[in-house]
Amino acid sequence: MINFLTYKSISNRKFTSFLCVLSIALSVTLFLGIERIRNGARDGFTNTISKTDLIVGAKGGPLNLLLYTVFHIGGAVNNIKMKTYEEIKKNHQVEWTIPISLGDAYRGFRVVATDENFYEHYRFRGDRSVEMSEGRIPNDTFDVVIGSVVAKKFNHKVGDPIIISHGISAQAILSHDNTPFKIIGIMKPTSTPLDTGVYITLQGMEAIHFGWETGVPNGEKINPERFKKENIQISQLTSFMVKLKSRIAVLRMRRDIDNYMDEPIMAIIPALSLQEMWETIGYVEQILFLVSLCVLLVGVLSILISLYTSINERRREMAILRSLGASSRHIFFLLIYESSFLVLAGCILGVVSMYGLLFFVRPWLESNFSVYLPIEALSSTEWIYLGLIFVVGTLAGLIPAIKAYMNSLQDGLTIKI
Amino acid sequence: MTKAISLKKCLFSYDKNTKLVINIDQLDIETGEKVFLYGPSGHGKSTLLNLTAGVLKANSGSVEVLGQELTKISQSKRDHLRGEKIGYIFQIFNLIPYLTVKENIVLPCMINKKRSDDDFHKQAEELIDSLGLREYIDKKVTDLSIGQQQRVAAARALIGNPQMIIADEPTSALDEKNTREFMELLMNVWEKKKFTLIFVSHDERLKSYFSRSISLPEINHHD
Repeated sequence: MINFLTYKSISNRKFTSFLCVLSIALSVTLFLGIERIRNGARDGFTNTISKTDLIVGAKGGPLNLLLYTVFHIGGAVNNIKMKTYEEIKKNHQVEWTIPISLGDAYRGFRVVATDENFYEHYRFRGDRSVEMSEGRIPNDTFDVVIGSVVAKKFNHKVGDPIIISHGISAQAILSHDNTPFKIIGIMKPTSTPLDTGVYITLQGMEAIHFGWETGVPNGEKINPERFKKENIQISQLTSFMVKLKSRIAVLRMRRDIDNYMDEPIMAIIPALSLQEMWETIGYVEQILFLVSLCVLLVGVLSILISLYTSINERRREMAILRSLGASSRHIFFLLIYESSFLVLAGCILGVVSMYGLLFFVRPWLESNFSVYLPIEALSSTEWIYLGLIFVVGTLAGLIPAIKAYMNSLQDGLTIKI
Repeated sequence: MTKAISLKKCLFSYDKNTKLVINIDQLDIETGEKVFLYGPSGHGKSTLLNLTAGVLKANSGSVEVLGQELTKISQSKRDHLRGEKIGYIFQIFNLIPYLTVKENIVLPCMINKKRSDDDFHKQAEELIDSLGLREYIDKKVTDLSIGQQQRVAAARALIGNPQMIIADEPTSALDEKNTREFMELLMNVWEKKKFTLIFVSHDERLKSYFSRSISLPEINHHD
């Protein structure tokens, strides 16, 4: 009976009920959507690099080391000797290492010199590795692979020659124009800083600085023999990534590196540093959460308002129901039922439109903000949120319900028009 | 004959220490009787109806309705009694605006399980036919005229064969022709079913339809 009356009563006030459901749905969409984006942003950020246990570089700020190695932001104070790298690489605890050498740029995009280990072992967002959309990985001295953003921005194709500028600013004063590189591969988009990198070999990085020993080009012609890969000696690196065979050894290894006698170097645990860094910038996240909470509150209030304003015009209806044997309790539950029905409908519509919205903004968020949002089923937290919204929304119906209850006690069978 | 309604030394006021709205020494209505209760406004008419329908409870004295002493049973039992055995017709606006004619008529059977013992849909159809509402059966009640609406209200009060019908000025909003038609229909049904009929009105011309007439100002000695 209550089902039937509720259904009829709501469909009678279709438009206001619809608006009410809509406002709940909107706030549910916003709330869950913001939650997803929030989590997506955090996961995307803290998973910019995965599997790597330690990042090693010259002593300095840990944050700085993380920024220039992983995010291509800022620069190193000092380089580290190749000898140090070789020594740590030989440690029996080490499973693999990825050397990184920085310092130059291509039209504002960082040039990252590394070796084949990078293409084999580098992991991000869990277990995703570097993949090529075109071409192959660099092998020779002047081979270069570019990230998807770089390729898109300059419309580069495999085979294009490029000139790398000295230093990391976008306006190149000095160019390595005597050493032209050739694009031999383009990476698949990853929505990580990988996309904005220009990748060359360690030998390539050394080669472009031949004749630059004084800091500026000396204009000498260089014997082409010197550019042969096997003839190039790598003398220094900027930093390197380390993966250990056992995670248990990470802290100890870190301590050993921090206390390394031959050179002032340090190690950071990227997962930990990323987490710390997110926390320092994470207040935005909390503001977002608060805003979405307020939106939700407004949605719930709209139920209260819409039901409350309808109470007076429904006094007559209540008296009729009373005359037919309905108790004041019936009247009370009728309204509670109505509010819970409206919230339920709002929640369902909200979840549906959240998925709809997610579907449309996903590619945009991923390409512009590196926020990766998988379309997943509702998580247990989200179910709890929905449950709470339902309870609070139903409780919002309590106030009009109590009012109607009081009215029906007072009016009885006397119709107030 | 047993009594359908029996009030003895019944006192009622809305708040303690305020004036008495109902002060009735004795009022008896026999089962199957059709009674005209003359009640101009300001003589506690609504209050009396609320008391007999079990919505309000007397402060003292006894209110016996259809064999139950209302002052001694709980509110929910009184609600049940009203739902099961009493049909109620209001002055106007008897119907739930968002239900159809038929839905309005079967509503008491949906609220009270005991009133829907038989096939109440069949009963509703019969009532609709006998009150000449066949063509409006699935119409929204707001599309009906006031006269038609009151017939629907009568049908709803009659469904499930209640033992008593309380009609609270059901004709006051009707014109003369509609009033006559409504009264004739009501009397026809009463002839067939012989329920207790309490008809409240301030229009004394309607007295002639009834076997007995009670004047509220005479029996209610309120302040």
